[in-house]
Amino acid sequence: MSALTDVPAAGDICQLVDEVWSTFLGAPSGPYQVAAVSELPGPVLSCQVGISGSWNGTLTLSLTAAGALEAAAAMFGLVPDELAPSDLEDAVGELGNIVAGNIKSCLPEPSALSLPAVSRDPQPPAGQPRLELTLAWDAHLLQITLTETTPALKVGA
Amino acid sequence: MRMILRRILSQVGFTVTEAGDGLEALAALAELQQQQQTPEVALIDWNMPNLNGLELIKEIRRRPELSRMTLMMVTTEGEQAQIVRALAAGAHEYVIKPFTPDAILEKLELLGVLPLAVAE
Repeated sequence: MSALTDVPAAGDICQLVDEVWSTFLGAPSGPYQVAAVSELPGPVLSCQVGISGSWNGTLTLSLTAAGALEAAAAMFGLVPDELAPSDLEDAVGELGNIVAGNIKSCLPEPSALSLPAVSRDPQPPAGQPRLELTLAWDAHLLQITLTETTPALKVGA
Repeated sequence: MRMILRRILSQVGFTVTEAGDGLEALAALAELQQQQQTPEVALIDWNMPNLNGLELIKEIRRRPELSRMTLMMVTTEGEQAQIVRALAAGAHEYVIKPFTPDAILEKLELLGVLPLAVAE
């Protein structure tokens, strides 16, 4: 028998993402929830951050490459032409790290975050999807998924 | 993150040295000390490879020659227990991301480490 923990509601996560976008990217209006899409259009950058401890799972934040470019430009105060591909990965990694950290604070304590792993060809994390959100920000879509894993049971002494 | 903090700090007159993790930070500190320099303040993330921010703070606090350095944790780790651990290890301040540039500068001003021209 497994007992899944309550995860933050979609509205709470939208509010949290809005705060991150407005604080870090200076976005006048943060991402808002839209009808789910199965996958984002075009090239995508994804950041996965593991959460382990009293709650176990993975937060995945995915942005389109165009969205990552705009986010990185805003975050670093540069124009898109000045950005290197690694800047986009840094920006997506930082956003994923912050979103994961804030979501973790709404989950049972104590738990720890892994280092963010950014990929252009992400594999879905193992576990049970608990939350899947598609958000829109300017002309970009982004996705947030929270996948819960149950720690392996210890058998015997 | 380092690029953002560099921008904030440079704009108020700090000379910034960056490190990618705790071990790099210790190496950078050693190099600065060879030049008879000790940084006034270090902004440290909790989650870093090789040597994390908490371990770095403990390591800095073990070194008497760095005792005057002001240490500020800047991190997404917001659990109360973690904040207490960082402060107990020797951090002077704890900032949870996301932050605004003003929030960082206000903390630095409170700690008395803003360059004089800005603090005035």
